[in-house]
Amino acid sequence: MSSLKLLAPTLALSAFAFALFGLDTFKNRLSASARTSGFWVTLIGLAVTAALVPWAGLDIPVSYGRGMLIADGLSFFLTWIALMTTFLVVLMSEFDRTFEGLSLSVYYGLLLLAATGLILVVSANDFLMIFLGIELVGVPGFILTAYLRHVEKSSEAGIKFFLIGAFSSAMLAYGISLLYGITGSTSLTSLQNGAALLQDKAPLALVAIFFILVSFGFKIALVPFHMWVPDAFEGAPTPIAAFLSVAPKVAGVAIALRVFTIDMAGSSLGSIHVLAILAALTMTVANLIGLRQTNVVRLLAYSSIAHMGYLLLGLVAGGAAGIASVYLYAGVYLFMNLGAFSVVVCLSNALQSNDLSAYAGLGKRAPFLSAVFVLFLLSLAGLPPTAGFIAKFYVFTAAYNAGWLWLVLIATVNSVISVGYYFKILRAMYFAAPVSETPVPVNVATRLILAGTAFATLFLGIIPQYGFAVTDKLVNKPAAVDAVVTSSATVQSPVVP
Amino acid sequence: MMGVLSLITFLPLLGGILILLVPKEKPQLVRVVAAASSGAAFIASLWLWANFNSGTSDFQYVEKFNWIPTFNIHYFMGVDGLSLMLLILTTLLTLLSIIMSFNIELRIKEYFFFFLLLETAMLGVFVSLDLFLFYVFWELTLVPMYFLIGIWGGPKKEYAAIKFFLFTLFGSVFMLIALLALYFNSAPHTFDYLELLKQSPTLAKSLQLWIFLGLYLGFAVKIPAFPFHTWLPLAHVEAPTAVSVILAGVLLKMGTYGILRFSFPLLPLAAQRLAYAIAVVAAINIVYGAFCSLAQTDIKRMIAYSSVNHMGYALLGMASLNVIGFNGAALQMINHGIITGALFMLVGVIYDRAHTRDVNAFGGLGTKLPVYTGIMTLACFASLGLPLLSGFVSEFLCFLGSFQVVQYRYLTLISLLGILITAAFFLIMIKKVFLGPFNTKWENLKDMDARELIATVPLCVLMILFGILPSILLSPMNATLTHLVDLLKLPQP
Repeated sequence: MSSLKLLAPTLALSAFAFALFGLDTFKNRLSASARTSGFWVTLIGLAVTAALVPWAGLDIPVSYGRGMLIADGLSFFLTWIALMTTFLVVLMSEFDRTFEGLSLSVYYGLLLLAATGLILVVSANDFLMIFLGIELVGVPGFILTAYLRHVEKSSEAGIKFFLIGAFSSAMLAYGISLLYGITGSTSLTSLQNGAALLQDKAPLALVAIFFILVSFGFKIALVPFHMWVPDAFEGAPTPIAAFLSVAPKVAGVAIALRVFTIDMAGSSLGSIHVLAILAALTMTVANLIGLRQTNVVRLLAYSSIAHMGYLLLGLVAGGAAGIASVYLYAGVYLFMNLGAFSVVVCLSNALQSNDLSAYAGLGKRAPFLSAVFVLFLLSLAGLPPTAGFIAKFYVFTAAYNAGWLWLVLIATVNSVISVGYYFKILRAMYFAAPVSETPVPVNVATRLILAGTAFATLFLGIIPQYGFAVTDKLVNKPAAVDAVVTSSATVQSPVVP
Repeated sequence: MMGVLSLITFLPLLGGILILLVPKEKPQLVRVVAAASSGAAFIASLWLWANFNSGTSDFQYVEKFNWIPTFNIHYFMGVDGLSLMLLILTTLLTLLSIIMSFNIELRIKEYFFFFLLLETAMLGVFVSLDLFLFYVFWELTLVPMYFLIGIWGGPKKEYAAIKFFLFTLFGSVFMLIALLALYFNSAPHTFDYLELLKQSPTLAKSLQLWIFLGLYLGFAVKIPAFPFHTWLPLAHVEAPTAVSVILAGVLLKMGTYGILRFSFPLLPLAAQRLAYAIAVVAAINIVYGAFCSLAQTDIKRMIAYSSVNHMGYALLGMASLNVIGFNGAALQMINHGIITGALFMLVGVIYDRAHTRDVNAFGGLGTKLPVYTGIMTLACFASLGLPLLSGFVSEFLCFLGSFQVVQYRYLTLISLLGILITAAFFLIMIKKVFLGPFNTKWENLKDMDARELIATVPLCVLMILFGILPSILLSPMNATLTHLVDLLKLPQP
């Protein structure tokens, strides 16, 4: 398969992104028709991209783009996650009333550009490509966070996010440069082959891995690198908070899976243990702080941090089961988390507030919204019969089977703690008396998103076999990874010492 | 093809979904659908009993389908004598509780939906033979219970609801880890109860002990065994009447059922090693629960603590690891469900009228409310273990079982003290409420109405019936319980 065909989704996405940037020059940017045409161009762009996603490398990974990129189960699955996230966020944004009076074409263009970056990151087989991809996710992300120019909090969140992002990218670049110094190459494949070299240069390699770990920690917001998340989420437009709760994490998880679980499986230099400790710390701290939150968006921010802790269990476990469990967790997390966020978007439009006190008695005012919110919260808390339980079950079994009993114990206790704050929302919605009697309107797009995500959350919880079958199939066998080493030899390889 | 067990389990849920479709303006229709679906489940469970073969300990009406092949998990259901009896107890108590709840006016659709969802979850717990399925149903009981207590409960309902939820969830996550340990130490990996049973003799003893402790945490919170009982008085007192009935009548039994069904047979070495510790916990439950009851002035709180005491008897019978003890424990589970269920309903009756449950607020009600007094006194006597009423037989069997174990002699003697205190607090309560000079404040109190009689009289009839003819309950369970004891003997060298 030619590289061009494999690159088609990224090319299409960026083409549509630039088309969207140009759209405003042809139309009166604030007119209703400009807005709708931007929305439809975005949707078409996403549909075209989805049609172009190559079904390649599912059995044997294919490397392309001069060995810079790779198509395999990981890239395939996470590409779809990225596209679906973008699709749901676009739907959420179009009907979010906070954007009234703002042109959205540029906004959508930036979203598509970020999605392009995501696809590049998850397909990257070279540290330079990882860096490029991360920047391509990051820069549109900063702008999108600060998109509500007239809102002070939004700008503040954007600046914070930008500084942290720039800082962590610098760390990443530094780590990469050190690794390059050791192995003489930025390719991940050479990392895999250079295990002995890394061991040999242990202190320097450790420093390099430390920097990479830290930057990765910032991207997926592990404790203690999580400070930016609640502020960025609270200040950003809520659909962008939803996007940030999934997109950068997907990128981070992809990097971690590739670097630590797949390519460095034999020579982790203790990085797996560091990840395990980070996972324990992330879950515990995020859940404990989560208990004190009264703003729903901040609460979901801490929840998203804690969920990355659970997800890391699968990463730490490694092996086919561990990787498959990370896939499943990422997929389930997408549905339940974006579902929860779209409820919050809809409610914040109607209530003009994200405070828990405004949610009082919603069970009566918005029975449908509240009922599906309950479902998402139960799923986030990991209670059966929802997908969240299945996902947790899968990562817990993987970690248990790999011998991480202590980590599983901490994770299970954490899921009990998390109930404490998820149920604060339940309590407000169902136990408290409503502050007003007016029903909350729900627009068609929100209904669609909610029906879809709620169905997925329940379906994967009751008949999880489909989820397991898909994720298991997408894990490339270790033998197959070896195969690519020989096959990629034909591709012009980067500098080899 | 759905089998009859699936039908019974999911009938209530079906009714619950129907209720959500009924328009809000027709509360009567909601009640009818609720009663009809739980009634249908009850009749189906009686049919199950009528066609049940009591002569064997094998599982009957077995349904087994592949559910999650990746983990070798099956949708696996079946009943033996023990689970059959608990199944019928559940359907009966739920039906009567739903009738008892006909006076609920607040958010009636949600109420009956959660109630029926709860019934499905409870039934699922008792018929599941795959541990994963069991765990799913086990956890599924939590959410409807949380809402039932939290929305329709008393003044401190929200705190009671979340405390109940967190306590039980905390116990059950450890149970989940124990189940994972069982799974990964079986070959091929399985959650299938019968498969695990075959492999249980080969499990290392130290591993068995750890797994037992994990399971025990989950079950002990539910029973509730000392020191995990603190959620119970709160939840019981705050819960609405019918929910207290289910809580005491069925949910507590899930804990003892779990130990009897899973912990003991799957981990025989650990069971023998830890039986004494369980007996000690049982004795504490009995004596401590009884003393706590004695100290209460709120009747509902008193009965709540008496549950701690009564579940102690069942635990003591189980810990004796012999056939008589097991019979006593199983019988005590059923009888406690019937008796305490009735007691909670009766407390609800007086609370609905007087809006207080303080024993000292009443006096001389005997002449004013003759029917109520008669039924309440009968239930109290059954609960304190008066011969010829059902409570006596099961308590007697539990003590007989534990007395046979030489090491338990002193524990049994101490536990007998519990019987005395139980008698004391019930008699004191009867004296204060029904005897003595009439408190004229209650001049306008009405006796029980038809709804309340329909809900409580069947239970009273059963108390007398099972007191005279306990064999009705014992004979279907005997083969199963004998088999469970045999399973414990097997691995001894």
